Amino acid sequence: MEQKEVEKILKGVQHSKADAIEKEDPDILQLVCFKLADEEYAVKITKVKEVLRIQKITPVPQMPDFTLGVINIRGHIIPVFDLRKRFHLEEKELDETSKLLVASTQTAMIGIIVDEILDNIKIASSQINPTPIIQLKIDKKCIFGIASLENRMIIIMDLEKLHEDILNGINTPDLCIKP
Amino acid sequence: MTDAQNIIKLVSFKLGEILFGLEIVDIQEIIRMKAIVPIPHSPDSVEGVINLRGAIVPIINLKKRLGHSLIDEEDDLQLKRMIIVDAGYLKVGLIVDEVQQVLNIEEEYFEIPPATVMGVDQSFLKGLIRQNDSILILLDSEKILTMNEHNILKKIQG
Repeated sequence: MEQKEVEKILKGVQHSKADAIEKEDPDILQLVCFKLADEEYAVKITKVKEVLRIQKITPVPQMPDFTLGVINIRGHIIPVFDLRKRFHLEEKELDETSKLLVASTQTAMIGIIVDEILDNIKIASSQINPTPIIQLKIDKKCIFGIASLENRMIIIMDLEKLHEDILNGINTPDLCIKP
Repeated sequence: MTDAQNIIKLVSFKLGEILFGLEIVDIQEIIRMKAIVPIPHSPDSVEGVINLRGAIVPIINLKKRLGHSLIDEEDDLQLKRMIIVDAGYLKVGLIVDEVQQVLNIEEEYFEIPPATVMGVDQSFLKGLIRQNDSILILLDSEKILTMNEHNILKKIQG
C-alpha cells in the first residue's frame, strides 16, 4: 500500500476516534481492519493507539518466540507480539506493507505485527455474528465476533482476551522455556 | 551535585547487537579475556574457572545463559570482556561481547518490564531503560545464575 494511502487511513483513524468519543452509539462499531495470514481481522478503533512502520525491536532474552521484544515509542516501552507465531500460522517475512498496530488493553499497551492495514469501517452491532463453531485460524477465545459485509468476512478480535492469552502463553513454562 | 538517589549508575555492554546493562554497585571489576579452565560435567552456560589473583572465579557465558538466539558466529575476541560481578554469595565472571560505557541514568528513564515480557523465569530482568529510540536491558546480577548453576558453582568454589 502506498504510504499516502496509509496516512489517509491513519488520519481517518484519528478522525473517527474523535467521532467515536463525541457520540458513543452503542449500536455502531468502528473498526480498524487489517490482514493477517490471508484473512481479514479487525479491532475496535477506540483501542487503537497508532499504526507504525516496523521499527527496531529489542529482543528480550528467554521469551517465547511469539514475543518479538520491546520497542520504545516516544517514551513508552511496549511489548511486540507476532500473532502468526502465537497461533502457529504460516510464517512470513516482514515487508513494506507490514505494520505495527499499537493498541491499549485495560492493563497495558501492546503492539502486534499485521501483514497490512486495510481500512476502517463502521458497522452496526446487528451485523456482527457470534463466533461460529467452524475452525478458525486463531484461538476462538480471542474473538469478539464475525462481521459479514457484502463480500467480506471480518474477524473481530477481543484485545483483552488476546492479551490474557499472551500472558498465559508466557506464564506456562512448558511453552516458554527455550532449550 | 544532583540528587544521587534518583540516578542509576550502570555499565552498558553488548551481547550480539543487543544492549544490556549491569549496575556499577554489582560490578567488582572488568577484565580482558584470559585462559579459562573448563570444568567437567558443568552446565552448558558455565565455561569454566579462572584464577583471578589467587581466587577461583567461575565464568559464565552470558549469551548461552540468556538464550541461544543471541549467539552468532562472528564474535570479535579482541572486544570480549569478563565482567566480574557479585551473583549473590558468589563471585562470577560474565563473558560479554563488548563493554561500552558508564551511564548515569535518571530514574524516570527506568521502567519495570511489561507483564507480557516478564515470564516465570525472568527474574534476572531488573528493568528496561529508555534511551532515545532504543532500549537497554538492565540485568540483576544476583539472579543471573539459575538455581542449578548456583549450587554447582558453590561446590566448585568450596
